[in-house]
Amino acid sequence: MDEQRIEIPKVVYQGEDRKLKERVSKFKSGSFRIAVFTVVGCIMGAYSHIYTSVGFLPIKVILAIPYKINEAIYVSIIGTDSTKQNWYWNFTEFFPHSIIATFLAEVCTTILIGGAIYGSLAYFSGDKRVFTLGRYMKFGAVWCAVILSAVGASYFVNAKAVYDNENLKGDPVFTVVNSEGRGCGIGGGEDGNSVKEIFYSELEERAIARDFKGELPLRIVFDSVRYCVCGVNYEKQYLVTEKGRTYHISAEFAQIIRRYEEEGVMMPEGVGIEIIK
Amino acid sequence: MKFAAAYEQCRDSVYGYLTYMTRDKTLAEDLSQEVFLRMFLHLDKFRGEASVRTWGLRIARNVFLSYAKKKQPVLLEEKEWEEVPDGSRSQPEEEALKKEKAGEIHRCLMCLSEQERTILLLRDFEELSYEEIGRIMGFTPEVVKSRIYRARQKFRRIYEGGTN
Repeated sequence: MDEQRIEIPKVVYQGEDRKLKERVSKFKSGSFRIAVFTVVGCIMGAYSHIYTSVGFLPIKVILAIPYKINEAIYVSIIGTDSTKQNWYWNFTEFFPHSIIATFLAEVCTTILIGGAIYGSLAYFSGDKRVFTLGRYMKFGAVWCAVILSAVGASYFVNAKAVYDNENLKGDPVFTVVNSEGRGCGIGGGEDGNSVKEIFYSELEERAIARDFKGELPLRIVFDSVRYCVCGVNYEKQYLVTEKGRTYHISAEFAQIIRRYEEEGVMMPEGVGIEIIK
Repeated sequence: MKFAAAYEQCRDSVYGYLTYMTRDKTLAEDLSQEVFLRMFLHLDKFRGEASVRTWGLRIARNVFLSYAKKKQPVLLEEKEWEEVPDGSRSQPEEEALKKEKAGEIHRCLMCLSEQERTILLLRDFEELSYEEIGRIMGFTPEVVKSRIYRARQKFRRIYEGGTN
């Protein structure tokens, strides 16, 4: 083999090191700017829901963007139970059955969307040789994955809440909703506990022929974070869930509901703790 | 490994390799910037299995190849030998000869294929071992050895033909 080397003259870089490291320094400063914009975007996302109360149009628009994108994802693109329900309580706008799912959807996802949008703005205002479209694809893919995880978590939490509601799992607070949309609830304290005991005493899933006319709407809040509105027929002693599962209830619990309807007071007497409007 | 140390070890190798591959100092400087940025971004993935210089040169080759494929495919082709007018007559004789020789070597290198040029530069300019060259180019040391042999023969044929 030919082992005689070829004399290739040495080439030494004679310029300034700063020049060769230019893209590295641009990357460092650009990354810092992206981080700052991302944090600002997250803060804007957190306050995004107040856009309706802001009067100054530019700020209103800046604040509204993450919220509206969020709304588009949940309500328009995927859809939630909120479109099927005509009852709402605080923090159940996106997922009427779960406060936690709504919090994940309305607050956490909006924070992430805000961070992604304003982080991307900083990305595109950086040096084009450093912050290239190819690198942005990775940056954007990470954000998409994080946002989709939050969206997935919201739907998972909601599905679990609906499942638990159907199985009547948790620590319940009951409110019989009257025809005016008002009601008196019971749940806390010793009296509340006795009502819970009465409720669970003979509770059993059974196939019962429903009598729709005799069903009263009973709102149940489980563990303070899950909502559902069931139907109760005290004459036939059954409770029906939103998805139509029927449960046999004790005569004592049926009596409580009956007394509410007839006298407007739940048993035990005088323990009404919550008025809803 | 800190970036500053990696940069110090690779600066001239990367710049020199890219200068010979592109025959354009401004472009070599520009591509070197990209190489050092990639080194900075992936420094945490460098496990020290090869030397920093080998790693830096592998990145340099990838940067050069992707640039050449997208922007200047002509850099990947073998050029025809061409005489260039001697513009170094006004300089001192020794320096002029040096420059002339360097220019001829450069032109000869450009008459080789990208792979031949790279393999010759890595061996005879960067003075890397067969194993190191193999790591950069994805060949076994035996393949590197035979390709270097063929590249040198081709280089000499062109060089002797050009200078005669």
